[in-house]
Amino acid sequence: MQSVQSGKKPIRIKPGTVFMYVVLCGWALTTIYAMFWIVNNSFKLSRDVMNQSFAIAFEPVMDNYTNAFDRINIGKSYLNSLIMSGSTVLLVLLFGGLAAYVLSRFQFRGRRALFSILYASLLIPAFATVVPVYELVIKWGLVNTYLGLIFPQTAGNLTFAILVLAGYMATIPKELEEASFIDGCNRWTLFTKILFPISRPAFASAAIFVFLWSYNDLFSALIFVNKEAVRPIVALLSEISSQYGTDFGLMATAVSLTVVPVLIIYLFIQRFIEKGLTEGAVKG
Amino acid sequence: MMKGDRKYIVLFLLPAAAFLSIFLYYPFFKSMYLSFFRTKGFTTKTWVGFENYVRMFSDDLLGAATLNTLELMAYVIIFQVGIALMLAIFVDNITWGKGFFRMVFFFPVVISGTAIALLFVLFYNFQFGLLNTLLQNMGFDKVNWLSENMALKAVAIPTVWHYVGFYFVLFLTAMSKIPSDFYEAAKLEGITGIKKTFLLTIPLIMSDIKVVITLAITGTLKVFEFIFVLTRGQNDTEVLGTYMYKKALVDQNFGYGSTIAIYIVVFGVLLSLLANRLLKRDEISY
Amino acid sequence: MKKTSLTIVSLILMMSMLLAACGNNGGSNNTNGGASSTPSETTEPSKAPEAVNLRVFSTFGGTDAAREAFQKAIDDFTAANPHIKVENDVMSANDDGFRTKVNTDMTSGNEPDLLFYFVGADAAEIINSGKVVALDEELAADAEWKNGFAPAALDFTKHTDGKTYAIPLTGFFEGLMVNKKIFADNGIELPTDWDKFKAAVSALKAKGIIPLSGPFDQSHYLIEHFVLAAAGAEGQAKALKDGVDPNWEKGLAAMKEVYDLGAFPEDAATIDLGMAANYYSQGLAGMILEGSWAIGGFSDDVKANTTVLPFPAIPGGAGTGKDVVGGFGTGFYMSKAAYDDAAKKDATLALLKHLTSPESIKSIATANGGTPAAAGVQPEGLPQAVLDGFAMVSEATSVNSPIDSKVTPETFNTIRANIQPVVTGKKTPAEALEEAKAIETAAK
Repeated sequence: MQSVQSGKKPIRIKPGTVFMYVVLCGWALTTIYAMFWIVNNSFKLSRDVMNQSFAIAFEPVMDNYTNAFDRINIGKSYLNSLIMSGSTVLLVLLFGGLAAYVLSRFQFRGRRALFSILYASLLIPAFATVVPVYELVIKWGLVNTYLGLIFPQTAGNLTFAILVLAGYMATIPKELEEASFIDGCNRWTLFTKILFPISRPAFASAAIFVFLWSYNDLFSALIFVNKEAVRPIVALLSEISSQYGTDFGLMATAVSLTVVPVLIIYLFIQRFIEKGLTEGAVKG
Repeated sequence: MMKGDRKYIVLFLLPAAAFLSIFLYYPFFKSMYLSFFRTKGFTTKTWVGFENYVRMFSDDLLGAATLNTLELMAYVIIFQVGIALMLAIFVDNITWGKGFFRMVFFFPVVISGTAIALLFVLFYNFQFGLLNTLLQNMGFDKVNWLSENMALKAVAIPTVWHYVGFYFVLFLTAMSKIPSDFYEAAKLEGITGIKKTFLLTIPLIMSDIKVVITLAITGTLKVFEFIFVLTRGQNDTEVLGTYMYKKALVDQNFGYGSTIAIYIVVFGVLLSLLANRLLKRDEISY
Repeated sequence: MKKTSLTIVSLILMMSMLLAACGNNGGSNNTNGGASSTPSETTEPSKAPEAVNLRVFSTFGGTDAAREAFQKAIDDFTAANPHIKVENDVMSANDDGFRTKVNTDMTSGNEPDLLFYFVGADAAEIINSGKVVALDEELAADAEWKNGFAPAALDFTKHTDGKTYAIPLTGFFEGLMVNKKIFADNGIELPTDWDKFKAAVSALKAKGIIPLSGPFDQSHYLIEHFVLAAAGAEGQAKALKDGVDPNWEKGLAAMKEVYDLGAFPEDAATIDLGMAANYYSQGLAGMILEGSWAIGGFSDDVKANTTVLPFPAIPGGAGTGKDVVGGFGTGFYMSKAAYDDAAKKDATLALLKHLTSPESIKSIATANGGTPAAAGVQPEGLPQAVLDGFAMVSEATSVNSPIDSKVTPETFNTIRANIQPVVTGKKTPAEALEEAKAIETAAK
């Protein structure tokens, strides 16, 4: 924040700006502290998590980590998560992007109806489909394979992606497309060369959310890929809570191990979105 | 319409349509079909006609779950969407630290709902939760934060907090798409500050606000982990998602569980239509 | 038009290539556990018996106390039988997802060769569907195997049709676990009868100690013990078959009676079993109703001071005060598919016999504090509380299987959901039980 007393050349600080910064910093505190709290507690024994969860672990205890690594093959789980959530994101962006392109840039009969159907599918909770989907996945021999999770999750996230991407693409000026069409682009090159680059911020946002939903989706993971060899990392969270009580230290560790890599990936992609956003802003 | 567009329409829609049909619509209709059966586990099912639907309409617990869901939805729309919009407007208006706030506000979204719920268990716990430890240190009596009067509000706090960052990013993305010449023109007219926000920014992202509210409504219908972990649906916090889960997956009554799933879908459709009607406004294209 | 279809076909081809690429990453496709496609198979020397892949699905995963012991039992088996590969598929049993998982697996052709699962009502559907086989003939054919079991253990896992589908491993008991130190420090008598129990509740409450740690939603053990203590063994066994036994109502009424004395934690409505056990384990509660498996999780201090008592009989009921809940609630099932597969049948049976041999039972019982199902096996190094529990069972007038093995899950959950309304007086015990009875009738 700029200093109020910056001497000879006073910078005018409006009270409104100060207020905005106070609110923003206040909210930021809740999110940052939560992350710190989780990581901090992952270095404590279960009893200390319960009794002194706010003390800083100056003498970190690694028991939870060794426990987690000894009992569960975390490296493998990370790889599984990355493969499955990554593939889900790619499929969703490809298929969702194509569908969004058609729905936002073409005028044809049934377009509105398709939109209505899509909005309606946002209302179908996973509970309403899980049993029949599971039957299908079993019938095709996909249980406990990566595809067994990728397919249902792709379907589950497509609707959201299509709506977000179509919403963004609809705002792109028509002239741009027409000009390229005259330049000899066909619809596919138009999509890859024009629409996709312009819509990058929307694609980036959709990618992040789809990744997160897929990565954090414990419910589907438990049902479709519940074997150690293919189990994603989020399943750690459920694995450590067994019938022998609740080990909060181990829980905090598992949460940390689940969250920290995603945060790192997010921080990495975030810069990319930032870039995409500025490019998107100077469109036209 | 360009030449050969029909081909591309079909071609580009096909993969998405296939996925949605196979893994979403077909299973959904299959569930609808199941709602006319009494199931015993997964093996036997007997056709019972509308028996499950009759039961549904006389199910007090379902009624209570509906009301609780509506209450939670009100909190989500007012606070989650409201705070997200406010934060987005603030961040849009400041010059220093935009990237920082964008980054940190998103943290909770990254954490899975289950993990956040576990975190709040440790906040609210009566015996050794943070809140009661603080109260005791200050010499007050312990409070049962998840009592019948407070439980739903207590659950609403993590629910709201979790996804504020998500809607915040959607709003901010929408705002970044507003061409800067709009603002420059407004500036020339002397429209700045709060006036600019209400006269320019909000109307221009109205379509995004509508999408977000629809997402918030449908999202609330899917709320599950927070209730399940924090209160187990006790003390007047049962919502449609947890009730459906209990009936279908815990009780293994798939027939009745499917009936509730259908009810949730119908309920959600009606709410979204209502929301769209209330927010009806011409979309501004630019 | 021709061009269009060509494009579609090529697109589909592209898609399937993409999918195939993903599929390779996905490792071996697990098709009904039958077709074996592991590379090791081909390197097998030709003289060895035909390679077999088996899948065992159990609850010995995660932080389960017997996880290592169980894995070791499997490793020992595969070391002795190099041509058999065993896939140890595990999931924690604490969440209701496990039942769902088993049910879907069993009914959709994805059944494991050996399944470790509950006996009683939980298994009824699986047995009725013919997905698992009765093992009486196999037991009769192998006297050594059969005689290795304590007869009571085999009796317990018999299905209602009198056949044995589940081979027991370890058993359990449930009881009133009491922190002797808290009682001694505060000069309170141990709750050996109902009046002393009530006196203890009041005395502990007055001292600011949670008298009886227990959750209302996951009130399995509360329901078990209050009903058994009021209805007695016979009344409990009838479940809700011939209408509601008035003694069941007495059991729930007694729960309300002690609730009014302040028996339960302030937040009993919203905590789960894990948290209730934590309260006891941290020394915040004087008593808890739990199962033998919980003892291993208590903090060392509390574990050392814990003894296990039968829940006292409720006056006016049919209980003896020495009725306990326990037995052998789980066992190994063999799938029909494995039984009918000539190549797999012997391997599966051999594995089953190995896993339920006295040695395996001993090491698993030692790890999880369960009652061994094998005759004459004495696990070592058990905490005193577990030994107290064994003593309680040996002196019991009846050992009863839990109520939730006698009614449908939905019926039991209806009773669970009604515990809070009953203790707070919003519903009478009769109303709650009639509601459950209606569900039970409709499910028939």
